[in-house]
Amino acid sequence: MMNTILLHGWLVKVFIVLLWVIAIAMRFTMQDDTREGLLFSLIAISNFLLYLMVAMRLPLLTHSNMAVLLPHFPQKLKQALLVIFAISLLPTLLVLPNVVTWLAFISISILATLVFVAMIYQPIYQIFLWLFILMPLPMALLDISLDKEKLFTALAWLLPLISWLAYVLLNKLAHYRGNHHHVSKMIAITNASIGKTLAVQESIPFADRTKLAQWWANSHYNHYRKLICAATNTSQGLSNRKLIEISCQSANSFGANAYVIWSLGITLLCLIGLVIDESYHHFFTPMVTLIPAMIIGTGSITLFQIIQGKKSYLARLAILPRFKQHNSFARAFLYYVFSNQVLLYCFIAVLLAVTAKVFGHINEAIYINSVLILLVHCFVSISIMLFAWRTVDDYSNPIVWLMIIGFVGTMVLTIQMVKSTMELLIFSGLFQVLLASSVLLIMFSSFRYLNYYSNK
Amino acid sequence: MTCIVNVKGLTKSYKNQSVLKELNWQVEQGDVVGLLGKNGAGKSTLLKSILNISDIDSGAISIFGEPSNQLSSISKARIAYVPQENDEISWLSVKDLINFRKQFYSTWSDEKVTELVSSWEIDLAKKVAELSPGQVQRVLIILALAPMPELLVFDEPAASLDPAGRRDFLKEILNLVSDENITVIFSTHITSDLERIANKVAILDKGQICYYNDLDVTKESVVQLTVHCKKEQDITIPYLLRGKHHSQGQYGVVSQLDQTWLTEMKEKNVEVTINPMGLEDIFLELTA
Repeated sequence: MMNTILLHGWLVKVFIVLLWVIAIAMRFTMQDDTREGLLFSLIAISNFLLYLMVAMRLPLLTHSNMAVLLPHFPQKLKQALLVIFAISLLPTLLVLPNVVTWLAFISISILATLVFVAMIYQPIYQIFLWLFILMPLPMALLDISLDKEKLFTALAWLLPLISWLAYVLLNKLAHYRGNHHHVSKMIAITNASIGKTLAVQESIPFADRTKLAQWWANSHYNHYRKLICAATNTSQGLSNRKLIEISCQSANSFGANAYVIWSLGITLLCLIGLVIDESYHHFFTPMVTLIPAMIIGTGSITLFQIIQGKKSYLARLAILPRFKQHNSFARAFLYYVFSNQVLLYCFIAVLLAVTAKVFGHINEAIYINSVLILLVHCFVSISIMLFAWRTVDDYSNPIVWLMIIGFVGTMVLTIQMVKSTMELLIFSGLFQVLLASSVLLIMFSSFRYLNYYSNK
Repeated sequence: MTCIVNVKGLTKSYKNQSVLKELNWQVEQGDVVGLLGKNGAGKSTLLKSILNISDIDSGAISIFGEPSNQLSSISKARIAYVPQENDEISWLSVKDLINFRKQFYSTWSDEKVTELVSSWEIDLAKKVAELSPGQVQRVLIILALAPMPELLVFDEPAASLDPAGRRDFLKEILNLVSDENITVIFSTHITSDLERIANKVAILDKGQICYYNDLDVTKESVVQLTVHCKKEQDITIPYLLRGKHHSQGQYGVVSQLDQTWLTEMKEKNVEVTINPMGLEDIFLELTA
């Protein structure tokens, strides 16, 4: 039963098993060593995902009220973790008969487990993850080359020491109840379904948030406080769209401060890119690819969750006398959603253009194609959101999953496009159908939303 | 009687705000103790500290003669706790939650679970998140009773229950405490519940157990007195908690009824009327 809790989440489990199956298939069809790197990556990614999943579930057990009162709890927890770890080692057998590599893989797996668990309980340890991501650049700058053979041999020899360290830390973990403040937030988030993660974050009392989060929320709300004050002092008052915009704000909204922070971050990155030699630019490619994806994720999924959580509030707003004109609420609402999302996607398009210019990771044709894909993504994403907001039932979970899948799909398609020599998508018949369908979809969903409020 | 819970000099504070101050308390085997206290008095903190769920600043706590922070698995198996806030995994079904808990106890009673689940009409297939607060409370009570514990600690167990649920719960506790070995500590705001099942009452005020006594003794001793004098006399009422003078005497509440003083008053021809008080009034007087 403990294993079931630690491995909760069928989508991640299916994905991990799929990666294992691909790794097995690859191992048995591999004729030479050319695809060895890919095999290693598959095993590593699948295992890391597994460790991350387990690490995220762990606080539910270690920091529950009952953990200190349940007989033999530490022993049972350790047993469950060891069983999962042993199972995770099965795919690493695929690297055999190379024993050194296999032992090195076990060492890497243990170290990854330790880092993931530490990261969950103490956010400061996220530094290890960033060090791992950013390491190649300073190594290249300092001209340090890593010999894979030597590294693996060292890791294989270090296995007893790493195992001993893991054993000590496992014993500590089984009794660990520290950093309760942070862990309780983690528990609240992991305890919630994917559609409700934002609602859980919103429910954290203001005083319990970090200083940075408090500043972030305050600076975001200040903008709207000023708007309200300005409107109070004038005879015109707030427009319908502004009123809806203010009503749809939360501490996690992607607002003006988010745009400023991201712009500053990108500017800094571009400045570094302009200063250093072009031969190092490829080290930045993962980051500059990931940033637009992160912005879409936070900008659109967050908007969906915020409005989903405020549906009843918006319904009460819609019956205010100022919205008595036919469709006035729905029109103002759609205006707000469209302007919000168009601004977000335009920002990403500009960001892509700037980074492409500096780092040269995509050419002009790929840029135009990426923007076209983003356009389709934008239309589909808004349509899905409108469909969900219109329904009385709560479909938050499937919608968020759908948005995540759509967003990952867009990323994969974009990355695939970068690798291939694809021509302009606008001339592709398939894409034209896709674009036309997305336009039809957004028109239909908007029309339905307009009707929804006019029929009330 | 064997001392089940022994608290010595317990001190606990949150962010420099002192909650429990040098608190001393002993609960004996077979006692059913109702813990009363105002909002924010520290009832939950006290119960959590006793069970080592919350860390303490200083003091020594022992349960079944073992330090509470080093309880053996055998002792842990004899303790059950129902928290005020549900922190069970929300996406587990009730059935899975029961199975999860069952694996830790050798004394787990499936019969008890089946009986309570059916009488309280709990849907085993439902997820914890899908249950109403009252249903969650019932599930937590089932989880606490199923291992057949010897020490039960309830933190506001009936807060989310409807009247029928509260009656069922109290009935269950009454059945349980008919076994003399079982000790129950429960915090509550509902004094009528306490009066139905508790044999002792503890009042937590200003970080300390300011009052701890048998319920019957409490109801007999903490009383309202009205003293009527035929002529003006200076009368001092012993153990007076609160008093007021009126034209022909005094009115007051005492924490203990002094029989010698009563006889003395009779001899002096002073009429003393004793009015028993409800537990709620007693609590208010003792914590005023």
